Amino acid sequence: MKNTKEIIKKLASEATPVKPVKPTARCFIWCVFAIMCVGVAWAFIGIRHDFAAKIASGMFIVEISLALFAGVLSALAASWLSIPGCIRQNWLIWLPFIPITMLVFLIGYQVFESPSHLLEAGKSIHCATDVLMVAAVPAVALFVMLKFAASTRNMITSIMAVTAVAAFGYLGSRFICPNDDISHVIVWHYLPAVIIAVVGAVVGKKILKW
Amino acid sequence: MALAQQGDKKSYAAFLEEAARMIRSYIRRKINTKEDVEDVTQEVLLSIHRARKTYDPKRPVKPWILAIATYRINDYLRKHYRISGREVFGHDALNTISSDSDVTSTSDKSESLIKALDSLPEKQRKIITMMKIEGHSVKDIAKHFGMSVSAVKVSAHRSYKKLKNIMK
Repeated sequence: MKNTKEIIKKLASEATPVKPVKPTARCFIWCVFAIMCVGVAWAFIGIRHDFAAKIASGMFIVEISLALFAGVLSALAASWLSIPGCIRQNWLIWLPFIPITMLVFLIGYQVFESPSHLLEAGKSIHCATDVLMVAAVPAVALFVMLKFAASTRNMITSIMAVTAVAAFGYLGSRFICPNDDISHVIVWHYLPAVIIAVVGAVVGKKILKW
Repeated sequence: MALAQQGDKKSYAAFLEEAARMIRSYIRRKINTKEDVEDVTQEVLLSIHRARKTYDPKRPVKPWILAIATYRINDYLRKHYRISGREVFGHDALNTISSDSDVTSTSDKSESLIKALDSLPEKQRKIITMMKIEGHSVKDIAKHFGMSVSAVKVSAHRSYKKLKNIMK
């Protein structure tokens, strides 16, 4: 390998002006893009027929808001974690857990309210593919964005990124499918989002390597 | 670093010089080999260059540099342990040679091993001696002979086989 001084000389000669990365602005841009992707998916797949009625339902609005918060906060954490040495922002890692925990409790409450067997969820594979389709493009965009930074904590950055993507996937699919039966929601909307998050975290760790 | 982000080559060179000193002393605490310390320092400098847009001028530069340095040190250690893991195979192979042989006493063992070593071609003998007796790393041996790391490993593996056959 070359001498360190030679390397320093070479690197200094390559110094061109660069714009410092702004994680919060990047997160905002990504969230707008993700919402646009969800909108495009709705336009292509079609929105649920009882949309107007659902918008008036408090429980549904709470559920969607929690998913949206989980997505935005996870994306914010991922953006900050992709910057080396941002230890002061470590608290951001815990933020998405607040809406996610609340969402889990909300689903748990719905199960308690109308107990139904998960095996009765029926076959609705298209709902799982909807989650995947809604999440796919924002996922690519988010990982490209994070790859352009320099994550030094790949696993946790990847976990945050896929949580954001899965939350948007879940949110999008809930506006597409009119079936609100809780067993259906758990098996064909919530579970696919969790699977996307788990698989994505492992794959994402490798993608973020630099 | 803030000036470097604006494209000021002189400030950037000065910053990298200063950073290299800091990185070197940080790496020395975790890696013992002098050559490897220099290699990892250079890796960190290249990474700093690549990630220079992620530095926020409003924040202290030290945590940013050390985070990148730690990332590269972990990379190095992962690779190092992977290679050492393979080298254990080499030790095992040598142990197998001893255990499989008909030699009973320790002195007989070492005598026959020395004889077997002598019968190896010079280069192979030197590689085994450097690796197993003098304790050099595969990387050092590769540098010494101007060979690739994998070529050294292949040569060592062939030597183990030969030794095993000779000592049967």
